[in-house]
Parts: sequence; structure tokens; C-alpha cells
Amino acid sequence: MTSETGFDSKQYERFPTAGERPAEELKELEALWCAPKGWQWITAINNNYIGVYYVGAAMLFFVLAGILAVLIRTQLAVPMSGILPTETYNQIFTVHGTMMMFLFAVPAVEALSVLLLPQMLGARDLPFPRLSAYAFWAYLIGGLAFFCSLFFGLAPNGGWFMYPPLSSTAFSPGINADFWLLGIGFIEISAIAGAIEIIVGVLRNRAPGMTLARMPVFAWAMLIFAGMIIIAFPSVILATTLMELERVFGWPFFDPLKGGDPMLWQHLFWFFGHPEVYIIFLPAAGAMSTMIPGIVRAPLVGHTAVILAILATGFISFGVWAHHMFTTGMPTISTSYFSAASMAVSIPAGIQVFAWIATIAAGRMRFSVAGLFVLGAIITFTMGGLTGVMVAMVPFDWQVHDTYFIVAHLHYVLIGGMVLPFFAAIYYWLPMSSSRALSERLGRWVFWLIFSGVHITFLPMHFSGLMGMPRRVFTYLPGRGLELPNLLSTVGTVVVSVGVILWIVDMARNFRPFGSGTAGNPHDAPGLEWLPTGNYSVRSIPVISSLYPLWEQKALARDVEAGRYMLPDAPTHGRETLVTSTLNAEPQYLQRIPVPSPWHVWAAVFTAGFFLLLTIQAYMASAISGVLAVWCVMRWCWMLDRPRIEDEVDIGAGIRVPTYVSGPSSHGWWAMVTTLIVAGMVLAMAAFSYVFLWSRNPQDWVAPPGMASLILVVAGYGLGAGLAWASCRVLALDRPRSPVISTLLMVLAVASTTAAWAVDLQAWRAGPLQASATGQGATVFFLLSWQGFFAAILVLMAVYAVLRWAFGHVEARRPSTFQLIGLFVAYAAGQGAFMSLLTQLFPGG
Amino acid sequence: MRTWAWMTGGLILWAAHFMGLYALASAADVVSTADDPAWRMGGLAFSVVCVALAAVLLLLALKRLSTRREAGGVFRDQLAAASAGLAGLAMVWQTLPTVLGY
Repeated sequence: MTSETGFDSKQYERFPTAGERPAEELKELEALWCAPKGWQWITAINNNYIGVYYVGAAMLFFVLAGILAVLIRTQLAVPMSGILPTETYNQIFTVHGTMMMFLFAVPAVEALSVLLLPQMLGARDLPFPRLSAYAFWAYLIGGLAFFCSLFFGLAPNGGWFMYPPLSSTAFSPGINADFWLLGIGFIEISAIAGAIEIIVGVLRNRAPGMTLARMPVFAWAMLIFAGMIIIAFPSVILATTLMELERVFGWPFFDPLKGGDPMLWQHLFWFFGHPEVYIIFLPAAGAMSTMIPGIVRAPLVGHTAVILAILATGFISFGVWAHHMFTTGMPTISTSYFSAASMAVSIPAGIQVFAWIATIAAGRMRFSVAGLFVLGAIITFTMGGLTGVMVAMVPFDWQVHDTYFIVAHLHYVLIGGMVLPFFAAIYYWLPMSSSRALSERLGRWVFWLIFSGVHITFLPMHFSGLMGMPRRVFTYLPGRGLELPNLLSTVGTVVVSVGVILWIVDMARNFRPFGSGTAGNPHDAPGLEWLPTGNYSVRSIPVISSLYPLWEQKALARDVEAGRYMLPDAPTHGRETLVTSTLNAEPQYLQRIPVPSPWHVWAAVFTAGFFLLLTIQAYMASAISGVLAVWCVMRWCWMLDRPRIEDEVDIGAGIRVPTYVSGPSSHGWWAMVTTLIVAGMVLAMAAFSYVFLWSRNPQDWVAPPGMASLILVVAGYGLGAGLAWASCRVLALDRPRSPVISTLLMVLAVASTTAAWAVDLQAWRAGPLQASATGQGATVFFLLSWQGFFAAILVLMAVYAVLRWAFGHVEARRPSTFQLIGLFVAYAAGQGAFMSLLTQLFPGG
Repeated sequence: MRTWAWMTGGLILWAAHFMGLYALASAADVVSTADDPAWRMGGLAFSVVCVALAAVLLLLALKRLSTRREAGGVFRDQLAAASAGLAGLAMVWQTLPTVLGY
């Protein structure tokens, strides 16, 4: 094999090693990765705990949103029912949709990956366990607060996509819409944090030898899922921010009377919203492709084609957003492009479905509960996919748009594409984290009740939709043929509810996590996640030579458990895992993993406090909470980039790797680059918004301030980026005064970048443009505000850099912190220069 | 990054093609009408270039596949070939509105 890093793959032949390992090794691992006690249950960061918490919270939100669904169907069981008041009904269906999409579907698959990926990849943990824990607590607190808004009549009531002008202050004057806007923005931070963790984990923490070709399909799917989150979610963060600015300050992004356009919201929302469907589907599809070989005991048919299909779905999902907008009056040829793309996306989905069917046909199907859920998912998803092709056709979509046909379609796709596979995953993978498997007998009842209930609920909705019943109405008139399909749908919901209650009973009776043992590998499945594990994940990190290691690498489980592979001990006497290269997974260095601390929990609490207090307009309290959140994050970061203990350590069989790496090879660098891609996507979508609003009213746009300020601003940004680069170079020289000069240069870099922003802001403020007067003003001042946000972060980073220098933590042997700050400064400078050039040169004077 | 760009080259091209067609139609809508024949011909020319690039990628990937023996590389070349082939077909399909004019 051609080496990616210079590592000689012949060294893999040293494994498994011979002889017994010292007993003290295992004792040390158990002590280092010990179970939490008392308050430590809250500060725990190990994926075995956070993963279970996370899945549990996702299922809690699923049940809560499901209860809302029952209320909706109870109201609609008969015509002219008055069980729920109109306003309450509006809040309930909005919260139901929002919770299912934002608080269940996306977090649930992230939760599953936090639980599964370390073991599946042969890692001790994911690379940023505190980030996972922070994401979980932020999600739990934010989600519960969002749900509880229902009890105070403050829940949002404009539908899960909150179209303006309905969500504007004119038609939604209370703070209900603000709960949605700020709540969703906050929860998205959690989703993005999880995505960063997954990307770096999948790319850099795989077991040695686990090349891309040998990577489990679930890991592939999670990688693409996380990549899609990084690309798509910034759009909704931008959209919710713009809407909140319009509601609070009157900046008219969506107000056509002042040069805004409500269509901008739809573009921004659906650029996130449609990929969101595939963001939900792809991990579940990856789970299906991983479970089915275990269930039928046969390799996945068309493995490479399935990977291609997942990749292709990820790409093309960004070209179908406007198929939600066929009725908005877009030009016919534009709708045709989106129609063609929407039909094309069914090809990769079809490849996966046929691969599953072929694998089932090639193997011996076991009709276990997991197997039943897998079959149910294939049937249900295929039905939803077919109606998807129907609504991809523009004339048909015009007929059924905003009717119950769409409700039926989306539920078939989402339940078949995510909910049923998720239940399959629970029944399939639960034995690896519980000392008892779930009941097969009770599970069959659960499956048949949920599966039949889903079809009884949603199949009739196709007909009620075709008969013209619109979505989001709280009642309907009798005598129009809608009574029977609606009554059937309500009965179906009750059937599903009984199934879910039985599943809860099954969980209560049999789920026993956090114990000393697991229920083993009842499926005889081939993945690494079925190796014997403890809190430290695998006893030793195996060398992988197959896509199905437990089937094809005989005695792997025994040798891993005996410590005969890599990292059988803890060379630095702390928590650690192996970092490998992205393509061939060659060992690169030992990553020291943090231990639990309360700072990430407090950071999540205060971040939640900041957003929630902002929603109820308690500005001072919100600001205090925000400052405390920043303080907690800085304390959290303070524990990173620690002094080296040893330069190199033996990870087994005489293979030595460094314990510290900086620059593009380090996991921290990857995380920062991924974060900056998020920022870049916000910038790209903001630039799109700017150009889009110009295209609606080009005649109303005024001339920019002038070239003098532009030259000054761009020069300031260039200087800032140059100084940041110089700071890192000076530190690398490793001279006695390098730390102080490097720190000084970094502070100057921040000062230059911040000054450039201030000059730009002042130039625009001196002109006639006002943020609240026109669409141009709103977008220009938003771009300036966004850059101002980065300037504020830069100032915090400069303070942090000075503190690290003052405490003696700036040294050439540990350049990561300064490299990452430098990277951020360079990005911020580039972003600022781009914004200035865009707003001053387009459309120009 | 080069390996990732190679593996997903066809898909990147597909995404760029879609965005390009949409951008052209939107620009045409500002200047004249979205289905203006001159702009559509521009879209057609753009599509021809994109499909030709996909064909080149496909041929390159097939050539590498015919000589390569190492498993990891074969997988990456297979992905590159399949993504270029799929992208080529999809781009031809998505060019049809440009040709038809609606």
C-alpha cells in the first residue's frame, strides 16, 4: 500500500503481539476511565455516558412531540371539533413539527453517532468529548425550555418554517416567534458542535488500517451528514438572525415595502430545509446499510455504489431547495431546473434501496425485531419516495401544494427514512451498551403496532389531500368526504401511541446501561462495535484489514481483549486515543483526551440563559449570562494545549508516535477549519442575500462611501492577516524572546483587523444609508455587524493570548493555540475584506 | 484534499453545473427574462463544458483503474469514475430545460 504519511505498513505485521500483557495495564485503564460518581454524572464526558444521555433525550423529545401529534389528531378526528382552541392548535402543530425536525431527528442521529462511532472506529473516544457533552447539555436545556413555552402560551405559532410576513411583528406581535427564532438558532449551535466532532472523529480517529474502503457505511454516512450540517445549517442561523433583527430593530430584510423580500426567507430557509431531509435520512440509511449485513449475515451488495449514492445524495440535496417554492411565482425555467434535480435525487436513493434488497436476497433474513423494522423502513421509505417523485413534477405539485398529500409524503419519507431505521438501530445496537437486550416478544408488538399505525395514519392523508384538505387548519367542514380519512388517521395515531408506550415499557424492563458487562453480539455482526469493551472502549486498538473485521479477522476479539494490539496501556498515564491519517488511517500521534470538568456544563447553562433571557427581553440578565458563558468557555479552553509529558511514546510492538502535533496534521486545526467553513457559509449566504435583494429593486440602491475608505479597510485587513502569520513564524523561531514578541504581534494583528472593521463601519455610518430604511441598508449593516461579532471574538482571543503568555503557556514546543488564533485572525481579515469589496464594488456607484 | 477532490470531482462538477444554470437563469431574469434564448444558449454552452469535463474525469479514472492494483486506490478511483459518470448523466438530464426553454 502506498503510504500517506511515511508510515511503513509492514509494521502492522507485528500485531497481534505475543505473550501476556501486565495486569496493571488494565487496572490503570479502568482507573483512568472510571465510572462517574455523584455530581460526576452531570460532568461526565465519556461517550458511553453522553451517548446514552443524548439518545435518551432525543427519545424524550420524540415522545413529547408525539403527544402533541395525538392532540392534533384528536382535534381533527371529526369535523368542527372544538377540543383545542385555534391559537393552542397553531402552537401545538408548530411545536410538533419543530421538535420532530430540530429536537428529535437531527439530534437523535448525532446521539447515535456519539454512542456508536468510537467503538465502531476502534477509538477510545471521539476527539472532543467535552464538545459532545456541551452540545448535549445545550440541546437538552434549550429543547426543554422550548417545549415548556407551550405551557405559558408563548410557543411559536407560525408553522415549523415560520414564513414572513406571518412571522413578522405585524402578524406575530408577541414573543412566540422569538422563541422559535432564538431557540432554533441556539439548538443549531449544538448541532454544529456535534458535526465538528463527528467530522474530525471519523477522519482522524479510525483504527489503523481502516482505510476509506474499509470504513463502515454508517461512518461514511455520518461524515457526509456532518459535512451537510456544516454547509446547510449556517443558512438557517443566518435566516433566524435576520428575522430577529427585523423583528427587534425593524431592519427590513423581508419587508417588500422597504426593499426587502419575503422570498429571501424561503430561499434561506429551504437551502437549509431540504438538505435537512437528507441530513436526517442519510445517517439512518447508513445505519441500515450497516445493520442489514449483520441481520442477514451477508456482505452489503454494491458497497462502493452505496457510498457513491450517499455522497451523491449529499451533493444534489443542495440543488433541490426551491422545489418547496414551485408555487411562489419563480420563472418557469428555474422551476424546471429544480424539478429535474428533484427527480435526479431519486437515483442515488434508489441505489441504496436496491442494494438493501439485494443484500437481503443474497443472505438469510432473520426476522428479529431489528430485521422487521428494517423491512418496514424499506417499504415505508419507498412509498414516500415515490410520492416524492410525484411532487417533483411542477404541475402536480401545484395541485397538492399545502395539502394533506404533502403531509402524507413527508411523514412517509421521514418515518420510513429515519424513525423506523432508528427503532431498528435501538433494537440492533442496544445489546452493546446494556447488560440485557430488549424483548423480542414485546418488540414484535412494538413493530407491528408502529408500522401498521403509521400506514393507517398517513395513507388516508394522501386521499384527504387529493380531496383538497389544506394543511395547518384546525378543523374542516362536514359533508366533503373528509370525515372517514381523518377518523382513520386519528385511529392510526392511537395505534402508533400504543406501540411507543410498549417500547417504553420494554426499555424500562430491559435497558440496563452503565453496567460492567454487555449483552454481547447476539447478531454475530461484523463491526468493531461488537468487540468486548469497557468505559475505555476497546482494550487495545486493533489493526484492521477488512470491511467486516469480526467475520474475516479470526480471533480479533480475543486478541483485542488480551491487549495484543495498539495502545494496550496508557503511556502518558491519562486518557488518550490514537490519531490516524485521513485516507489510510496510518498512526500519526497520540491524542491526550481531557478528563471531566464542570466548565462545559456551565458554558451550556449560561449559553442557554443568554438566548432564553434574550427571548423574554431581559437584556441585562442576558448580557450577564453571555459574559459568564464566555468565561466558562475560556476556562474550558485553558485546559487545552497542555505541556508535553514525553515527546514520543510506544503504542505497542515498538511503534513510537509523538504525543503532540500542531498545524494541519492536528485535530485542533481540523476543528478550527471546520468551524471557519461554518462561518464562511454564513458569509456566502449573507452575500447571496445582499445580491438577491439588489436584484429585486436595483433602482433603489444608493452609491457606497467611496474608494478611499475601501483602500484603507482592505489594507488594514491585509496587515492583520500578515501580522498573525508573522506571530506564528516568530514563535516557531524558538528564541528567548519569541513568546513575548509573538504575543505582541498577535495583539497587533487583532488591533489592525478590528480597526479596519471600525473604519468600514464609520464610512457607511457617515453616508445616507440607514439599516432600518431599506433592504440595502439592512444587508450592509448586517454584514458589518457580522464582522463586528468576529472583531469581538478576536478581542477575546487577544486577551486569552496575553493571559497565556502571562502564565507562561506560550512556547515554541506548543504552538497550537497561537496557530489556531492566527488562523482565525486570517479568516476574519479575509471575510472583512470580502464584505468591503462586495458592498462597495457591487453594484457600485 | 486532492484525493477528496479527485473522488468527488464529478459530484462537485454536478453541483457547480446546477448552481451555474440557476445563476444564469436568475441573472437573465434581472436583465430580460429567465428563458431568454441568448441566455439559454449561454447555459447550453456552460453545460457542454461541464459534461465534457465530466467525461474527461471519467476517462482519467478508468485509465487509472486499468493500471492500479492497490485496494485503497482502486476504491478511490472507482468512486471517482462512478461520480463522474453519474454526474455526466445528471447534467445532461438537467440541461433539458435549457434546450426546451421551459
